[in-house]
Amino acid sequence: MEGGSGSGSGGSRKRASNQNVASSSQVYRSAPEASTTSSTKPYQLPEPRTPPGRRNPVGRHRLRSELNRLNQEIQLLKEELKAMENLPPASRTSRELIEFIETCADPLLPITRGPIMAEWDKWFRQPTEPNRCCW
Amino acid sequence: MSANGVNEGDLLQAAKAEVIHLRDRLQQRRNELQDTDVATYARRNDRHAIRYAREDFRPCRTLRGHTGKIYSLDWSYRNKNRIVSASQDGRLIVWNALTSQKTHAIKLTCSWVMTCAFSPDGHSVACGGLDNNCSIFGLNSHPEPDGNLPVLRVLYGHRGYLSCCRYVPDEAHIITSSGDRTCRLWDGETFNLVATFGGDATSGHAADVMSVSISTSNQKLFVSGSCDKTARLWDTRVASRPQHTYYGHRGDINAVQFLPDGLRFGTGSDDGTCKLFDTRTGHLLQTYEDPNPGRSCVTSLAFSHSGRILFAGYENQRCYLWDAMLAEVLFDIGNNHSNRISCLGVASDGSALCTGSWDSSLKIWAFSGTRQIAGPV
Repeated sequence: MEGGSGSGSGGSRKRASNQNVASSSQVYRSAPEASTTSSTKPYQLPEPRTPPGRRNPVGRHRLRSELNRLNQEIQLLKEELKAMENLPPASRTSRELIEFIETCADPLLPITRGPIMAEWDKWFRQPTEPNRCCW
Repeated sequence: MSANGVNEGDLLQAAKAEVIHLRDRLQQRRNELQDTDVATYARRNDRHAIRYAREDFRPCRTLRGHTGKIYSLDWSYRNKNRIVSASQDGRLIVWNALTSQKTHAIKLTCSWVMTCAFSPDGHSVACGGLDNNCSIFGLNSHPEPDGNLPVLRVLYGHRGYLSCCRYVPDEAHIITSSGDRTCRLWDGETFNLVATFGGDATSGHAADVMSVSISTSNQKLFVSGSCDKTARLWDTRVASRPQHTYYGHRGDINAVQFLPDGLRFGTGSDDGTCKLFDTRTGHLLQTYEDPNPGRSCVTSLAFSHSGRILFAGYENQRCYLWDAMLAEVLFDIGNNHSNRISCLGVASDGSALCTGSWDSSLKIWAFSGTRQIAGPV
């Protein structure tokens, strides 16, 4: 893991799942359209409406939940703002990074910190390990 | 109307306005602190680009044996020449990269594998994919009569595909990320679930998590990259919320990788760029944007041993070696793979790079030029 285990992507699964979602929603939408062909009036799903002058209890719960979420976010943003008061500028972080890079030996660089190890060139030598294969 | 007579709708509007105001102040403060980027700072302080001759970086091995697209690879930490690779031919193959020989070929029950990882002691490998599970195989286990290695353990719990799994190097733990928008920490000895990170709309990722990377300086910290275009830093002791959220990408983040210093990390995205972030300050230190037209998605990412080279694999079969300090392309590996580069990784001793591709092959790359010792800094 140290020194750079690779990381890969699974873009195809991500896209495949999106396509599945798209296709399933198309199937869902096509049902009312099919029913319109057999009748003269387009089919409409009934919409729940709150009678005028009455408060919608579901709406109130939604409002409260949204308010709680926003208050939580406000708290987090305030904390972040406070934490930023004492942060160093990006130039100091850049300097630290460059200092780190320049103090490390790197087998893949033409100019590097020492010591240079003979082991680094093993990839261009004949392997000395016995050839053991599972197949 | 609420109990104290204040209209809830008004409170909501006020809270929304407050959030916008605070976000603006944060952005303003960030802009004040963002006085430079790494490349500008390095040039201003007389740092020069690395020069690679054409033959300095070349492929030295091609590992053939998979018959499907390769999705993931991982170098062993203990045995520096070993690699495990996962392919959609339904096999994990453990390679001795030096001799190009296979030491294990493990047939999987679910062939739709997306990730694999070597344990720090080199005795087991983990993998997972569309089965939503993380399966662990002991490399020293007795094979079954048909020659296959039996599954040692299966970690159940994710409700979406497993996109990435990584062992915590010095601890007996495994971290997994998933399409269910969460990351999970598992005990590597009892194989029990220890903690779940995210899954809550207010604090976790808002879309599939694609990749995780563990800090080498503090192994309680790991970073996750997601299709919600953000990366998040998590402390394994505090599962309830991320320590920090990093913004800047305009597309899904496919890969995250810590620098060897364990304090900064890189991200690769569908927007075609790689970015470098500082974990402690949250500063975006550098953006690496392909100068060529027809920019392609970044699929994978790794750093050389010093962090000077950023290796980025692209959907268009390219792999660039970026000078991470000066944000210039040092080297382009050209058309050595005939399909998308899906994964890459640097050997634990830093001496080689391995690229894995949908063309079913893995290639080992190393520096073949003459090295010079750098003068005092």
